[in-house]
Amino acid sequence: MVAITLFILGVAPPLGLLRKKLGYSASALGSVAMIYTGIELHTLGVVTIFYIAAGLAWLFSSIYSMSYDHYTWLAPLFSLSVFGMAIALTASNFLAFLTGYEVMTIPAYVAVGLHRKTDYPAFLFMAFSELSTLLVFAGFLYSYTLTWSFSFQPLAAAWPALLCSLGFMIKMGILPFMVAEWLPIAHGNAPANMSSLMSASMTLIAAYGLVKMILLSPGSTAFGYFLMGIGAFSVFFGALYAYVSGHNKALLGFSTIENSGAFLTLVGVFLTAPTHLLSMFALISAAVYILAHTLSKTGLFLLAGMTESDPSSHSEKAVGSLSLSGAIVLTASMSGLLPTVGGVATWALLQSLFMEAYVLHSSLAVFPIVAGSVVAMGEGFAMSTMLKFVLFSGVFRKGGLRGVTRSVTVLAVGLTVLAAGSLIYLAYAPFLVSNTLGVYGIIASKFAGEPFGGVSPLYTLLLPLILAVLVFAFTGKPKTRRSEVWNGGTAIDDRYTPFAYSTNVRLMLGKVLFTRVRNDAVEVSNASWLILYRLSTLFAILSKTLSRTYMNSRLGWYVVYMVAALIVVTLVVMI
Amino acid sequence: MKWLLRGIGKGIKTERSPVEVADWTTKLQPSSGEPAPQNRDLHCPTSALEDGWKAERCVFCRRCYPSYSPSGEYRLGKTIRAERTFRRSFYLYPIDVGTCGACNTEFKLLASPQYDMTRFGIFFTNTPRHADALVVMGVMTEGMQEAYRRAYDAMPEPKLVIALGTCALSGGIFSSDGIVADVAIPGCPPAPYTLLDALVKAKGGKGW
Amino acid sequence: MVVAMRFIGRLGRYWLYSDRLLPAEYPSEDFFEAKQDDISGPAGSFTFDYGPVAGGLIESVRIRLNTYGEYIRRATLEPKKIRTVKVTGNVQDALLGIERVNGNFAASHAVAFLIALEKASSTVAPPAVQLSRVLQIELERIRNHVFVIHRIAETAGFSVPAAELLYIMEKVNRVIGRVFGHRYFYGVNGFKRATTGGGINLTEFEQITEEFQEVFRGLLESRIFIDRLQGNGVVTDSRSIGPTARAAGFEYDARLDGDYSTVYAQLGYRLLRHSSPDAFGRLLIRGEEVAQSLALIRSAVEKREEFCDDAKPDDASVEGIGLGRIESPSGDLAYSVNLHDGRLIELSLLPPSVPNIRLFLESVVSSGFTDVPFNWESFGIWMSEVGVKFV
Repeated sequence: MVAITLFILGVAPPLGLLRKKLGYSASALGSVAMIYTGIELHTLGVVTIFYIAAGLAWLFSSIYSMSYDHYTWLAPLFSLSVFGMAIALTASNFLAFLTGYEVMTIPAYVAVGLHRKTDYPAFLFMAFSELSTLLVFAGFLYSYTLTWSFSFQPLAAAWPALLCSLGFMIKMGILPFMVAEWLPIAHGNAPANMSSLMSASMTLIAAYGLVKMILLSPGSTAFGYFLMGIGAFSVFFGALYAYVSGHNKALLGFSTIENSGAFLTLVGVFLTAPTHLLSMFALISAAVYILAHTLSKTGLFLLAGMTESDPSSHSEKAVGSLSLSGAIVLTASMSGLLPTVGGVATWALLQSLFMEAYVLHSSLAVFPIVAGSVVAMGEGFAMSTMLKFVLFSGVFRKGGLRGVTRSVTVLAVGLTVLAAGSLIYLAYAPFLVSNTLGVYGIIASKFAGEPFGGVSPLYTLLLPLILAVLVFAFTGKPKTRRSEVWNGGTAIDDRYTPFAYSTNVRLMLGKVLFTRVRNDAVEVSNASWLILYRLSTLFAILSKTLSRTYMNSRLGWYVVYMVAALIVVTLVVMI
Repeated sequence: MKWLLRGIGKGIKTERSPVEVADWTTKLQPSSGEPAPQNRDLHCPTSALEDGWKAERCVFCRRCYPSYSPSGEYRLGKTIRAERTFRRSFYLYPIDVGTCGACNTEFKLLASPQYDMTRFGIFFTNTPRHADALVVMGVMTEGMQEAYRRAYDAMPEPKLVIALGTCALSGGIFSSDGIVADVAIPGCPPAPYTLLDALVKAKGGKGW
Repeated sequence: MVVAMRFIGRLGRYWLYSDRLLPAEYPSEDFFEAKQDDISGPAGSFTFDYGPVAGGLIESVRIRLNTYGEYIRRATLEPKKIRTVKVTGNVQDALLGIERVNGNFAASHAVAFLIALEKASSTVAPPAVQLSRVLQIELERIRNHVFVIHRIAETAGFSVPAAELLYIMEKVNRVIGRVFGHRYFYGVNGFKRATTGGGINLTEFEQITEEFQEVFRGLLESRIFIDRLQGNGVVTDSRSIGPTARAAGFEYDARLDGDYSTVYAQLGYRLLRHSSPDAFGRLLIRGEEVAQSLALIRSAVEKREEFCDDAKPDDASVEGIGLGRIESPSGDLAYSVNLHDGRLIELSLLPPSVPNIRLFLESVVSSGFTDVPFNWESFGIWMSEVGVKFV
């Protein structure tokens, strides 16, 4: 099955060169094959979830692309990237994984570069992607020196996993996040279908790699706490910067960072959990989180593609009610609301942290407690951010249909997310409780024998619907009359802007965001960005002085250098 | 907390019936013992004496004094259409279309402890969407036409239009037209006791 | 007491200073008109409409606030109710309109107008009438100051003091109604005459004074309340008037340098000022002036034997130009009239709300939305006197 998937996806890029729609159809077909592969391999545990998530994301992006693409070069690049991701996902050895990793990145770099014809975002993207590859490569190399084999095998030391994790974390946008917001910049400057691939699927590949390496390595609680800390930190700041961001796509980029942080926190719980049941819960929930994020982010980037405009003022192209319904479900999922799968994931995250704090009867419990608080604050911002996104995309400005295929695709993603919420209990096999009150699929969090907490997305979905129908049946359609919006007695002259929506936080958290209010703008900046700027200016000055000192164009000194070099080389060779 | 205790300590100031009524806010009638003079000798600036004293035109300028003098009758309001739906809860939305400010102030004084309109179930609201009655004060100016229309349109059924003051009813000294209303409360400005009586009747009560 | 010359505002075709009129052709750096131009801002900002009809506003006015969200960049204001008042011709008819320019300042408007008329006729009202006029203005001042403080307390959500102040205000209104026959002084004043009806009960006034002081002091003890006002709407412009100027520390009061200043001096008037140029200072000034007005009224009542019901016929029999300026509850209020053959041919008004609006629009920049109602109410602006056209 894997071979079939890879073949179909491999054939897609050349097809895309010939005919755009052919290429995308091939990718779509290959995605379905991927989903099937995942279902086939369900005995392998969390790997299934990654395969299914990836397959679904590619499927929806491909279908959307068929009516979105109006570039000549995009189709083959898109399919090539998907092919690379498939290789990485199904790889059984390091070489295949790295190949897939690079094959997925380079087309994205090209797409970013060609999209706006500016160098900066593309180079930024490539620089950090290559840094990530370098670290992953180093990790694999180390692993090779331990096992003398290229295939994925259990390892005795933790260092390979550590190195690889650092690399993967860069790819997810976590690591040098505070230093350079490269991920939002890169993702914001690509065509929508490419952005959805980058934010959703590439993040998935990185997460997959991270989980794979960690599963093969001995546990390291110190590393686990490190991941928990950095994860919580990213959740908060990712969400905060998403909220105050002035650009829709950058907003989604920061949201990716936030979700990656949540994923890392769960991995951290997995590594530090005192009971086996708790670590299993955390691991499954981490995969579920990635599933939720992949689906929702794909859908939201596709939606952003439909409202392409500068959203710091108004969204000129608004979306119709089909895609809006999908968008509402997607943003609900990103906000962590039941009955979507994102709701289950957020619930599971907070439950894991709660349970760990409860079970760790030591001062170490402060880590999950603090992490939990920070994560909760971040989730609050995430909800407001998503609300802002969906309100200004479609609720405040009603628009017409922007291409039926595209609207229906977004709606389909939304429905999938909703369905996934009710079906995800299938992934939580050891955590189900028997049917009580006739409610199926209750997922219960456990760290020992008894349930700690429980949630039933299906119940949450059905109960309001049934009640609403009942009420409607009893009272009938209310008598209403449409009238104009009341605006103090005048017609509405100006509109509330998305920028103004977030100014309250820009002002209230002015110390954290370094807010400056000028007559013509409100600016926020980033502490590490300022530090980096200062450091790099210092570095520039330092290197200039240094180079002037030793490259002083005096012949005498150069002779000294040559003699010194000769001595050094001789010594090295002798030793 | 201290405000609560202080308020309780002050006792009940609400009045069951008007304690003090200013002369020139009440109905004018021909003074007894005087022959009713010709209207044109009275120099009424708003033609309020064409056919007996017309409350909706009088601005209480006292030029007709001493031929006409105040009677002390403060119940000047006229209910053309009452609405009993509101007898327990009556939300008013004021709109100032061109007042001198006095009507606004008298209207606000309905909330003072002496009159305490809320004991009759009368309340102020900040939006026409929650309003039962639109209280129109002042002469209709051009700039406020649109706002008036929008406010009326924004109100849900059932609704009443209350014209408060001589300017709203007949234009006063500023114009010759007033608005069409369900409840007419003349006065320049109508005092809170007149207002309260008229409002209680408008919602289906017996007056005050 | 030597009072420095100060700038007040634009009166018809002139700039009005405290001791002179300058024709408006002379360019004056002192003057700045409230700009009514289109308000728009940089990308990301938007313009929020407050009014013309809003629950928080007493009168109709369209305030436009250009903001980034929370932070106000700029504000403009547009009066939406513009009434045409016929004043040329018969002086009696004109007085009807003048009284109803601003019902809450009816006494101040009528008195300033009549002083201008009397000056144009080269005559002066008898001392009893002057005293009655001062009495009216001070009663009006008390009522308005109480109302402003009530509005601020109501906006702050302090329902009990707000209700108590409304109670006091109704009491004052009843006194006015009893003494003068009408609660807003309509039909009370005339050329060289003023009506006084029943007596003023000084004990009742003492009670009102005490009740007011209690509420006022109680409000000042509340830290939350003061917080809403301090630093809100700072005005340090020397071209301010009324309580705004006195709160900032300027010794500006028409009771010192305007008409009837001698009467005020006889009654024992002393200028009150603070050095708190924000909404809090304006609140303080108004609260203290209530007490002071009550003392002035007592002083006036004690000279009551000079009162008498004048019923002399009105007649403005000569021609000339006159200027009347008195201190209304919100600042200087001036009328200038031009009489010809016993009829009015020209009239100009400088209402206190015009300079106050200019100051409000300047002071609202960089504040937040929740500060705006407090700032607005603290100036005591009445739109009815801004939106009048005299014909």
